[in-house]
Amino acid sequence: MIWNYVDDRACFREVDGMSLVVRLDHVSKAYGNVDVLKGISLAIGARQVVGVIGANGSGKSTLLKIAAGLVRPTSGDIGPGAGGAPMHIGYVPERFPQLKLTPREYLQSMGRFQRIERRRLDQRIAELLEAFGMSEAEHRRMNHFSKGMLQKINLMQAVLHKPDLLVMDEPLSGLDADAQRELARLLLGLKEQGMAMLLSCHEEMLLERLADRVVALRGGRLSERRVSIFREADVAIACRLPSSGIALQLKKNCGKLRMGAEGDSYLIHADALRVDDVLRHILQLGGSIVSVIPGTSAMYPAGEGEERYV
Amino acid sequence: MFKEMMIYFIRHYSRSYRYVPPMFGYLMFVVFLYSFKPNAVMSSFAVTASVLFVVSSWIGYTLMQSEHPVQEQLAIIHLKSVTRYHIGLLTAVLIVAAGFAAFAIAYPIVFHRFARQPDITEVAVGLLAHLGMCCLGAAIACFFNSKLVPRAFFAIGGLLGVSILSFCQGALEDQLGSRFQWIVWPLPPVFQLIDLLMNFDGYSIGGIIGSVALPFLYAAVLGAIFIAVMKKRYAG
Repeated sequence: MIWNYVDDRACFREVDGMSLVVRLDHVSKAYGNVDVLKGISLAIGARQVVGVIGANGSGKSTLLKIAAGLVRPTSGDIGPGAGGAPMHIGYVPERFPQLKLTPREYLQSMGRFQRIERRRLDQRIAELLEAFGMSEAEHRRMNHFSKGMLQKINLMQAVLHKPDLLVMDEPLSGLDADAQRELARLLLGLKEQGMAMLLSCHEEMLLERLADRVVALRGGRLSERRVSIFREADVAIACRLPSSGIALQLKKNCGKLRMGAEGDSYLIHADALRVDDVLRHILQLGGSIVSVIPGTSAMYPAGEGEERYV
Repeated sequence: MFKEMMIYFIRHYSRSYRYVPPMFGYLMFVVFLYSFKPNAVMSSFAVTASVLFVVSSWIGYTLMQSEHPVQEQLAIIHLKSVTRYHIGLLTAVLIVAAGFAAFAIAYPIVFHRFARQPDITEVAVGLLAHLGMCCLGAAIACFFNSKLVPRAFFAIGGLLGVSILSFCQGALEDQLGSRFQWIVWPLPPVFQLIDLLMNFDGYSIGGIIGSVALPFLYAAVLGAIFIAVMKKRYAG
């Protein structure tokens, strides 16, 4: 197996400025005499999900904390991609503490810390509690919660402000199989909403379903495991459709599609090989195309086969 | 946002019940102190202020302990500032301790436990002295939190050690002589505040202002050093 070290600095130019969410430019981190990270350069595009794998103690958490702005690198730069605009970053730590607060109390405080306007915050909390199936537990103190419930709150606090980048440290760690499936479903939902993510993970199941790109951290350096661009949900199509009935018709015509809606605006994730077909159906049904957003894996040359190492 | 921080810290602390020992200890102490009548105004304030110094450092230590390290990281990410977080934390300690200060001042006045009712100057100086002690206690407690002193034995021992040395500052100065007096200067100006309250009539206006202001300045400097230390720790 051949491993090439990842150096995304070329992508800082190649990727359109608007689609780059964060860039780590030759980032190193040392604790005392121990070099944990050695000159890592990594670019994360909008809507891109990057998985980081590596052995325990390989520096994954340090890398994530640097990306989240919690730890300052010893050398190198970290910055937002899109014209240097400040980013909202959501951070999901591995273990969420059993606080003696209710989810609503806690989320209200964290939301207000981020200066989210009170009415909008209440709406967002209600929306998240509903989506995460936690409405019934909203007034129960979290010190009585199961690990799965705590992890949901963990995720909710990170996405309160709809972050540009969601950084997650082992989001499925310590959960039972049911809770893992439930959380994976929620993460896929967030991906469908177009949230860029950087996560460390040991569960292949999650990486398979979620990650557009997987990098491995070994000896303080990143190596890349590249996946084919011809994979499910590789292209996102933003469009307008005349009615929800037409949307259903489109789904029926095109078969397997993932679709998110806001009013008459739709975001459709389609297999890269079927994009032409989906676009044609949208136009035939009287819809209009707003934009076609290539999956971020499309930034790279097509891989050979399902998976390859470069 | 700052108000929300106070609500969060105090709500979280109140649910930890770690406030119960210092709160009941202090309330019982004040009630017991004033169970006999009559009492001198300023010397009684000196006693309650001295004990409040220890109590506020206790509150500071337990309030900082009640915050889980992971939650602290999350709060800092949401606030986007290590400084803002720690200013909030210190302010929350002061708000809780200030409640005790208000009780220590109000209780004897409301229940007529003094030989005479204190005048407005005495009440104002007494209140400021109590608040000064709150600031000193909170500022000292910062440096003994679990991130800086991981072992509780050393943290509590160190906190008590600094408290005792602060109370003994006058005696230490006498023992050390004029050449070595500077050794006690870094200690919190607790002794100066107690001396002001015990010998209030002998102080000039300037002396009163200086003695009252000193603890606030000292605590502000210590608080700024603490925040700088925490920022450096977070920077890694």
